[in-house]
Amino acid sequence: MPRSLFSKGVGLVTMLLAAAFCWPGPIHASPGEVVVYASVDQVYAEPVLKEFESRQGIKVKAVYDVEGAKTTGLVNRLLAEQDRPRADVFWNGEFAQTILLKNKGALAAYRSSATRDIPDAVKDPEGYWTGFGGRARVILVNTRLLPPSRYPQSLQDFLSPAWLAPQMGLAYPLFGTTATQAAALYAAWGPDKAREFFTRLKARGVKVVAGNSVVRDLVAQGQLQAGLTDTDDAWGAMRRGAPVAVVYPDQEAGGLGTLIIPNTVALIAGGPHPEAGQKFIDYMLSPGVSEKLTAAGWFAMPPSPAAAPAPAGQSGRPQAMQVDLREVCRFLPQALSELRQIFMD
Amino acid sequence: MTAADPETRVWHRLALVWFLVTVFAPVIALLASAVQDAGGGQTSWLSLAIPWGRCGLLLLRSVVLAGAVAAAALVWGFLAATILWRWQTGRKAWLRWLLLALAPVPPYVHALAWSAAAGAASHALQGLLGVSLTGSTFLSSWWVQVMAFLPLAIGLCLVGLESVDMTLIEAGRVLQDDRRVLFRVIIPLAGPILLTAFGLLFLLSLVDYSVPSLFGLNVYALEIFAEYSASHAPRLALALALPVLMLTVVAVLASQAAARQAAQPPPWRHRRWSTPPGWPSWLQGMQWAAAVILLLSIAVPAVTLVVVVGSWASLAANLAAARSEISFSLWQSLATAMVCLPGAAAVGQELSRPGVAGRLWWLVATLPLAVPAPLVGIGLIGLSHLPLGDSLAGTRLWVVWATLARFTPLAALVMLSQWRRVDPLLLDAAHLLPSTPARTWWLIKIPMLAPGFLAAFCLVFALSLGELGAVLMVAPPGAATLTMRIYNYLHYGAADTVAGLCLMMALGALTAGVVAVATLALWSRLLPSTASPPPEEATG
Repeated sequence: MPRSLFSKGVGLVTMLLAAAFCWPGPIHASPGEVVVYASVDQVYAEPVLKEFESRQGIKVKAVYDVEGAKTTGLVNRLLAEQDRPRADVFWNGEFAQTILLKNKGALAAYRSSATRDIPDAVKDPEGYWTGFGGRARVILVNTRLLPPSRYPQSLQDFLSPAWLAPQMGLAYPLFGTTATQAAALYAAWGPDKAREFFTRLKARGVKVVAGNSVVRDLVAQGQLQAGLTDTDDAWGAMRRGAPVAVVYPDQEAGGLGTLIIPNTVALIAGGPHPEAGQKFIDYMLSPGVSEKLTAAGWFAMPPSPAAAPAPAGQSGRPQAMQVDLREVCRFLPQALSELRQIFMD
Repeated sequence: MTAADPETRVWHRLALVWFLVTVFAPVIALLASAVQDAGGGQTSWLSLAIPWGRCGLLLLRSVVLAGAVAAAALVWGFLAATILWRWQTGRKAWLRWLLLALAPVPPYVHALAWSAAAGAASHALQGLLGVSLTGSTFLSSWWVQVMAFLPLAIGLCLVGLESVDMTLIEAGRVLQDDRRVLFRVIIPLAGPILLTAFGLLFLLSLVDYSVPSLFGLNVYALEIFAEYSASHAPRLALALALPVLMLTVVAVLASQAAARQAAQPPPWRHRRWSTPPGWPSWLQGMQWAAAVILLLSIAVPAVTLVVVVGSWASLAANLAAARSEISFSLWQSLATAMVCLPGAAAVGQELSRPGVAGRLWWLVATLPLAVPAPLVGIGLIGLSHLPLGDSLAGTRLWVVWATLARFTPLAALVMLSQWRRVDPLLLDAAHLLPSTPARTWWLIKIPMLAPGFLAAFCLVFALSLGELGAVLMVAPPGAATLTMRIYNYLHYGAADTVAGLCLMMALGALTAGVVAVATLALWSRLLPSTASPPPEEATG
């Protein structure tokens, strides 16, 4: 190939790539769209968002959080963008960070008509956020390593010598729903008892790993006999044929009950498409969405008790931990601070 | 540095400014916010910059882990590189650089692959011998990080070996056996780059928490994110990151103190081995052990990915579902790899300066590597409050800026190596030609720097593909990168999807490497008068 032709070819390719690079994409918000920040697994959220698009004719532009970012992702992005919000709606897989956003003034009040049937315990009295559905904090058990008679039935079983500590696991109680559960224990038991629980957990050598999905994988692979995780992780493992079973902890009469963590949806203050955001919230709170998310395996607690999957060895709807969501959020900073001292050594 | 005409100097300075703006503007935005808080009386957070008690122990453990990872990766990387170094002619001379294609595979995937492999091995041992494998969290983390960084270590060691003047090696071989030449001539002369490689690997290990947290090992990088997650205050995370920045400064200054570039003959008079080296048998054994480890580092994740991916139909379906992420990632990585080159070339040239100026530029080029990725993203969000930033925020350019800020310094280090291979007399002669500066660049300088440009392009392309922390903060709504999708599906547990997408990522980087290598090979055939003579068939 002649040198001049090759040089011209390289030059042409370079210019084409530069031109492609110079195409920046949309700069300002376009009408007829809504921007959703979703701290929800993309595989569950995407079908719901696409259905909203097809029903309402409003394009959804989503940003998904990733577990690998250790919840330093979307919540911090929303706080950093607070002066110039880019998002319209925040759909969160739990509630504590949503309440935090409200306390920081990042949310706008919006009372959807769909909230009428939602209990007061899972919605903000001032209308800044609304809870729906729910995931439970459960004990996932490897059925090949433990017979049903030996399944742990309570969080306190993680401290019992009847189970080998290195064969029990949980995610770092500093992030995500494990942190929320830790704060819930602070609220339910009181700080002293909760602190002692986690101190003894650490002293026993219970395995602490990177996230709920890691707990799920280690239990499914047989590297752990049992571990604390969320129902969506548990159902996912069961769907893939892993030898696991789910236990809703503390279901005895008068027991603590199982923590149910509702999803929350909230309107972002100053978002570029407030009306579209409100329509999106109305849609998310409609009954059909929760049932779809339950059928997909994201929710453990559907609106209709009959649709709840039967836990191992138990029947009926699980007994939920009686704890005020705002109290849980109030204890979160103390729990995180103390648990860092315990687990990050 | 050779004397250049005024127009070239202006462009050089503009390129330096481009580098400083793209790399430091996000960090400066963060610092400005922190200074503002301090000015407002909020200063208690500054105490986080002094690691004490529990944090001090965490930092010490992290430093020990990072040192062990860097040392092992460097030693094995060097031994493997000495084998590849003999591939100096023909196709093998180009193929050896394709190891960099493995760089974008996330360390987390290495960790999962090795955990699965260890689990299978333990299961087999349990069945056969009644014993099971148990490993400490430190050793597990160390091993997986070494495996994840080994391709990069080999590439850097190869750059170091290639920088040694063959004339000096041949002169040494006249007087001493090859073993003594290796330890008394080759290693000392390659030392500056090997030390730089150690520092880089040390830093990459120090800021990684994904692998240690998987094995339950607490490290300082996780403490930074735990603080950020709890407080949502970037200034607190930045304060916690300051000790890591200080360690970077120490590592850079220490590596520069050992540099003997001023006394080292320039390597642009490159020659091939007259006869292949004859290493002693114990060294050959170590080399082949390193080669086996390299093969394991490739085979275990590759086999795991291929086995887990399932059927070709499943792979095709997963790739089809991810086509928007794949196209966005390829576009973003290509754009970053291209746009970083002018700034990287300019800074690479400055890095070769002797004295204080060169040391300052070393600090400028390496400090940004110690800033945690999400903080780069947060800094960019801070820039979006400015008029120009407001226009760019939410666009694809914002994502490109995030990866430019993260990886342009690495490209500058690669360009330094190439600048050192260019005969300055040729550059001076080029300036004497009656030609415009643009034509001089197009016809003379770019061909001479082409290998460095291509190496920097491939490295930045590969790393940009795998970047998550900063991109997550600035990705425009509706657009996501392939890495974001991989991490989402990792959490969901769709192992087959993750495996397929990781294979796609490695294939993309490999394709870029093949294209770059083929282009360079073709270029070398058209321009036989470049400083580095084209590969010839081996004569020994």
